[in-house]
Parts: sequence; structure tokens; C-alpha cells
Amino acid sequence: MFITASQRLKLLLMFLVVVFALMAAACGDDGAAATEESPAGDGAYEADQLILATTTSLKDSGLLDELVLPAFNEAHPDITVKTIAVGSGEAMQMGRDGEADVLLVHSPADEAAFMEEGNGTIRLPVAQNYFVIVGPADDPAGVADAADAAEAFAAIPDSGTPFVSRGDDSGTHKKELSVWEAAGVTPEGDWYTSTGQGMGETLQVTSERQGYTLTDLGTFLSMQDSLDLEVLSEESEDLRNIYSVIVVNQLVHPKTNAAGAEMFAQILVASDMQAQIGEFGTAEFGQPLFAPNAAALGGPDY
Amino acid sequence: MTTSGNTAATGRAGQAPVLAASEIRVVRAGSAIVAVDRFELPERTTHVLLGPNGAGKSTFLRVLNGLERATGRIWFDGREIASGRDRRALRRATAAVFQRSHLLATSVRANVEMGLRARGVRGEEAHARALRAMELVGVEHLAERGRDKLSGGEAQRVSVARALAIEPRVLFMDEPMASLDPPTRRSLLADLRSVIADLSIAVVWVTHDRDEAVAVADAVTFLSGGQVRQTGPAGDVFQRPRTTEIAHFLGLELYIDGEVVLDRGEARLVLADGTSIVCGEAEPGPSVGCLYPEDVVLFRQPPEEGSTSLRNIRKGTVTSIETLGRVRQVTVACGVLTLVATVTQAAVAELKLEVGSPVFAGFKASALHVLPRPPRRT
Amino acid sequence: MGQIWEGFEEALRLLFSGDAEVYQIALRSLWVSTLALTIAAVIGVPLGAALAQIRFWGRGGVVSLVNTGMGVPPVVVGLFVGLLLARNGPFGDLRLLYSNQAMVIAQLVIALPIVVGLSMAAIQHLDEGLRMQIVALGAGRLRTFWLLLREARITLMAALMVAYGALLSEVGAVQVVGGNIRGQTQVLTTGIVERMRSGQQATAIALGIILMLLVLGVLGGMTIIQQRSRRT
Repeated sequence: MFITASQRLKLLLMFLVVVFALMAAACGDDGAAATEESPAGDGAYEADQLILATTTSLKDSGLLDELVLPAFNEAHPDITVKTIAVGSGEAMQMGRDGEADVLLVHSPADEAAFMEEGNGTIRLPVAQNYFVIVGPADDPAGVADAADAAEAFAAIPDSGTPFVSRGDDSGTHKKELSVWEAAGVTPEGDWYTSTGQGMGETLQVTSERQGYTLTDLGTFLSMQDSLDLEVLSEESEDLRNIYSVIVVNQLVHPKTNAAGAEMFAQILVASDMQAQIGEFGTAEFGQPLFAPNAAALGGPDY
Repeated sequence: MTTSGNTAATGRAGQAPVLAASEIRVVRAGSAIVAVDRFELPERTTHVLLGPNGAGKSTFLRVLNGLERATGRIWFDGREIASGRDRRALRRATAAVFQRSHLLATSVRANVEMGLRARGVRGEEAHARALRAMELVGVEHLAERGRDKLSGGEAQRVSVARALAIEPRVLFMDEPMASLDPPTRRSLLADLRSVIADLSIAVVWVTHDRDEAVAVADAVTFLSGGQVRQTGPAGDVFQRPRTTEIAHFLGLELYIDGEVVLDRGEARLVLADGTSIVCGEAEPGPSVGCLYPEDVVLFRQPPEEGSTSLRNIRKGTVTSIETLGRVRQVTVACGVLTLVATVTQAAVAELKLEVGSPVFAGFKASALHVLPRPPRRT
Repeated sequence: MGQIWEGFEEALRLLFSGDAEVYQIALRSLWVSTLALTIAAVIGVPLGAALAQIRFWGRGGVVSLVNTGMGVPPVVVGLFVGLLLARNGPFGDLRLLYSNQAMVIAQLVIALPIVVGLSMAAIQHLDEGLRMQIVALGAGRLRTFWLLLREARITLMAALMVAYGALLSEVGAVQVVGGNIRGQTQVLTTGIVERMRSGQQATAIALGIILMLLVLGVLGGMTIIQQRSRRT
């Protein structure tokens, strides 16, 4: 009302200038830091930084933070590892987009496809374990007596005991779906619930409802005290869970740090690391959470 | 009076007005809400812009103060205000008090110093000038108080002190009393009159209250519908309203239809029944006479010849007594003439007035304001 | 109930034993959100005040953009900022993804519309007559601006409180652009989610208590400032 159009414009411009100056100052800072950090001219992008996309279950077990990363940092103190915990599917998508350098995943069929597309150069199995079916101690569906997981699952719908699924498209969820398929059961109906959440929350819900669920052993053991659930399944082939490390192909994704990724893979499959993986969890739970696997599969799968 | 724009900057008696304007137009949504051809404010003058709500008074004041843009020309101290920079200079040389005190959420002192700070006056000098201004309106004891701990009257006094602190060339008052209760209004009005007189500053004062205008005005401009209906010295406008609209607004509520005739050099308003009333000045022809109710005097007995200067005395009957604030309004039917008198409660008791009482009502010839009769609506 | 109580006991033990990681996470949360809020306030308050007072071509568009921005879920902001900062994204060469700076930027994007929108409302809700009075007293544009900001400071403070609360308890954006990396970008909210997921309830509860105390402390402190400034 009291300010003319031209004055308004001036005022507005003034503020825009201030805003841009602030933004420039902020970005300039970061930009300068970035140039300082990046090793100039050696062609490798982010040679000092390694983005590891890992499945949630592996990270949540503590294996990476307590065992693998300290070992890697000791061997390569100049490289910062950024561990991003996501589902196996998303981890591989990050690899396909060149947003991650190295992957730790447990979805063998998808991994094979990933390699065939040329997105990875190296794929090595690093550890394995077995998913477990947990449920109420009285086990109405007789899971403990089943020969394998498919047989166990087949008995659940008619047992009057609910099944709680993560329903979050994680590796665990995918495994669960493949077992349902093998059992010839469509997981639908009153007895089947999806939490859409992580393993911890899903175990809580399962315990509350006194139902069954499929879980990795590590998460279950760490929560066992607060859960009213028992491990019911035996180790069977259809519950086998293989973790592999994949080095993303730098030829396809030039901004990746392949050198760092290969060093990371090397550390994982080194025999002393493999031995430690085989021990991991014993101190806390009285039993190991993983079995070393690199040697078992007889070598790299190029 | 000339209407040439060039001479608008020169005052009546050769003295340049501090503020002058010509051909001011403010148009909103296609209609002119202010259309003032001429306005002059001499030094040391309080000029009241009077008129009903929506008359464009406040808008005109904001134009004069450089707060609102309008077409037309404005001169301040003889220099024309042409640019935004000039308007800013005008605002910095003047100060305004509005209906609401608009104090900032800080101490009284800081508020009073605000205008000074905007002018680069700080520190000791600002303190001293603020203190002087607060003393002028009697709020120095409130200096450290917060805005929220002030009464309405105190807040408005602080607002006035804030305006006076900058020692303005022109003080703009936009309905400064409208939000105050009557006792507060009376005491502030009295103080303002003496402050304005002491400082001898020029004031533009917007009000719709006749009594307020009477109390402060040296000159009056009556506005309605954005147009100047009458302007001149305060006495002229109050005593000789030019139209019935102005007369009505001024409180001349009594209208007497008749025809003015000149009889031996004396003007007389001849009523429908053939009787007549002595007027002061009047032009012959169909006319309307108006009276302020407070100019009508009531008697129980007819006053003796020569004991009063009232030229017009009529016998009548009280038809109603109404309470109007602290006074009583007594309606007296005198044949074709119905008079209304404003008297005190004490007078009503003394005269033993009640509905049906016989009574004599009188008024001076000069109290009757005679206006040409407006065209009748059929 | 027993489990919850055990969780609480363990949480209190972690808090009082001064568990380094727990406190590191809390400090990071506080640092990221405070920095984001400060930048948002420095940019957003004047911008909001300007939007409230200045009419210009396209203002309506800017205002609706701001209002829309106030309602965008943090996780969407995270996704968007993540795409911009990704290695192969337009700002990939800044190498900001999965860093504290990235979290600050994302939270800035969340806070800015809130601060701008609420500042705009705060200034707009001032009496138009007050503005006129200030101008009439001879104040220039900047002084008018400053005095109006000061006049609206309580409402502005409330705007900042709202934004700060939103930032401290926001989980979607920091998860996506920070990556929830332990020891690097894990903040209270993402830390709680991770520990709930992996069954470390005690630590989750400890972090939750800290988050609640932080939010209460920050908001309580601001409320005290508000009340104090109201008194003068």
C-alpha cells in the first residue's frame, strides 16, 4: 500500500541476493572441503569413500559394525565405509544405479540376474545360515515335526494359529514367499497378517498373537528374552540363507570405487575373517549366527 | 479566492501555508472517494476535517501525510511533493496519531523514542526529548511501563507523546479520541488543546464528533462523499452551516419550514400559520430555519418585557422529556412550531416540567440558522 | 509390562553410565537440526516477512508453493534431496549424500516452508494500522521491516518452535539422505528405528527418552523465552 512497485521489486531482489549468498556460502564450504579430500587426478572417483549397500539383517546382527568394518578400517584407514542398510532388492537397485560400490545381499536368484546384466564384476558367497520358523511352544501346526519348511508352512493355515509376515519386500520376506510357493499355499486369509515393518517389530507382533513367523536367527536370539516364542524348525535346504558380496562394475558405473570394493570383498573372504565369522555370536548367544561360506562354494563366481 | 494551482502555495494573508493541496483525487474501484480541489493549512492552525463516517476524511489525511498516493498536487513548506522521496521527507517532518494507539510491544520510553530513532536521534538527546514529550502529556511516570500495562487513555497519551517527541511541523490526528471513554476523552482533549496552543504547531485533525471539533478547531472543512461541502473559519461553519446536511451533522436537529421576508430591514421567517420568527441574517425566499437544542431556553412564566434578549418567545405544552446522556431533551409543541430544548436535570426539576406542563420557550434571533430550503423530494 | 520396565531399567543404566554412542547420537541429532533450523530462520523469516508485505507478479504461486511445502512428508523431501545429491545426480560431485551436510540440507528443505509460511502468517496477522503508524513516524523500509519482525517475535518464536520440533522428531528424510550410518550419520530417530528393528529395545528406549527430553527441553526453553518477552 505504501511501497511502490519498483521498490517492491528492489526489496525482493535484495532478499533473493541474501538467500543466494547464504546458499553459495554454504555450498562453497562443502565444495572446498570436497576438493581437498578427493585425490586429484588419479581418475578414481571417491577413492577415499566406499558405499556399502547391505541387507538389514546382516547389519542388524552386528556382524558388520563389530567385526568386518573394524578389520577393514585397520587395513585401509584412508577409506571411509558408508554402510547403508536396505533390503536386498533395494541394495541391488543401488548397484544398478551406480549409487553403491559394494553390495552384501542374500537373494541368490536376483543376484544371478544382476551379474548377467553386467552390473557386477565379482560375486562371492561370504556366509550362510538358516532362517528359522518361530512360534508358540505348544506348536499347534506341528512345525517341529515337518521335514522341511514347505511342509511346515503347509500345515499352518489349518492350525488355527496366525502367521505374521514382514510384508516389506526384504530378503526375509522374499524367502518366506518362496516357501509359501513351494508349499502350494496362497498366503491370504484371516490367519495371515503383514506388519510391513522390520524383523524386531514383526517378532513382537508374533509373540503378542502367539503366531508363527520366519526370522533370521540373529534378531530372534537378541530378542529372545522378551519374546514368548520358540525356534521350531530344523535346518533344511529350503531355509538356507546365503550372503554374497558383489563388486559393482566400474566399467558400467564409472563413478564407483571398484578398487575399494575389491579390497572390501578380499577382507570378507580372507580365511582369518571367515574364521571369525564362524565364531560370531557365540559369546553373546552361545551359538554362532553364521557359518563361513567362501571356501565352501569352492571359489569365486565370475 | 482563486482556484489556480500555482497560487495554492501562497496563503491568505501573504503568509505561506505549511501544507497545501490542490486537485486531490483518490479513486478506488472506479469511484472517487476523495475529491478535494483546495486545501490550505497555515502555521499555528488546527484545521478540523469534519464529516460522517466514510466521508473520505481519513483517506485525505493520509494523502496529506504522504502515506497514500493520490493524483493532484501537494506543497509542504512551499515546496511541491512530487516523488516518493519527497513523501518520505514529508512523513519525517510530520507525525501522526491514529484512532488506535499502535504502540510497539516494548516500554513507553522506547515507544516515545521510536520516531526519534527513525530520524537518527539517539542516546541522551533522544532520552531528553522523549522525556519532554512525555511531560507535555503527563505520562513521564509511565516511562518504564510496558505497553500491556497501560489504560486506553494512557496508551493514547503515549501515542501523542511519540508524535510530539519529533517536534513535527504538522501534527496529524486521525480520530484520536474515537476509542476512548467520555471522561478520558474530556481530560485528554483539554490537555491536547493546551499542548497544541503552547507548541503553536499546525494540526490537521480528523473527527466525526462535533463537540471535539468545536473544542479544537480554528478552521473546519466539512467533507461528505469525498467532497468538500463547506470550509472556513470554525465560527463560520458552526454558526452558518451552508446546507441542511451540515446543519444536521452539527446537531441543528430542529427544522422550521417557512418563507423569509424582509420587514423594515429585519428578516422574518413566516410560518405556515402566518406567525413569524425574527431571524438574524437571511436571504428572502423559501427557507429552513434550524436551531441547536441548547439554544432554546424554557420558562415556567413568560419573562417580563426587556428582561431578556430573546426575540422569539412562544407558549406551548411539553409533549415529551427524554434522557440524553447527562441532559434532558424536552419537546415543546407551540402551534405549528415544535421546539426541542436541551436542559439539565436540575432545570427540569426546578421548572417542575412533565409531559403536559404549559411552558414558554424562547431563543435568540441570532440562534436561528436560516438556510435555503433544499428541493423537496416528491 | 515387565518387558517395558526391564527396557526402562536398561535404558536408564545406559543414560547414566554415559554410554558414548548414545550421547554421540544425541549430539549429532541436536547439531543437525539446530544448524538446519538456524539457516532456515536466517533465510525464512525475512523471506516470509517479505512475502507478507510485498506484492509482486507470481506471489500467489510462491505462497501456494510455500503452503504445499509445509505439508510435504519428510520422507518425500528426503527422496528428492537424495536424488539431487546422489552420485549420478545433478549435485553428485559435491559428494554430500550420506553425510551430515546432506541431513542438514534435507532438514533445511523441510523447515524452510514451515518457517516462511508461519513467518508470513505472523506478519500478516499484525494490525495493518501498526505498519501505517510506523511508516507515519518516518521509519524507512528496513526499519519498518525490523520493527514489524520485532513486534511479531512471539509468533515468530512459535513458528521456529514448530519447525524445530518437526526437525528433531523427523525420521524419513535423515534416513534417506543420511543413510543411518553408525558413528557417522545415525541420529536419534533413525537410531531408534534401527534398534527397534533389530530387537535392541533398551537402547531404543534410551534414545527415545533422550529424544523426548531434547524436544521437551528445547520447546520448554523457547516457551520460557516467549513468556519473558511477552512481559516487557
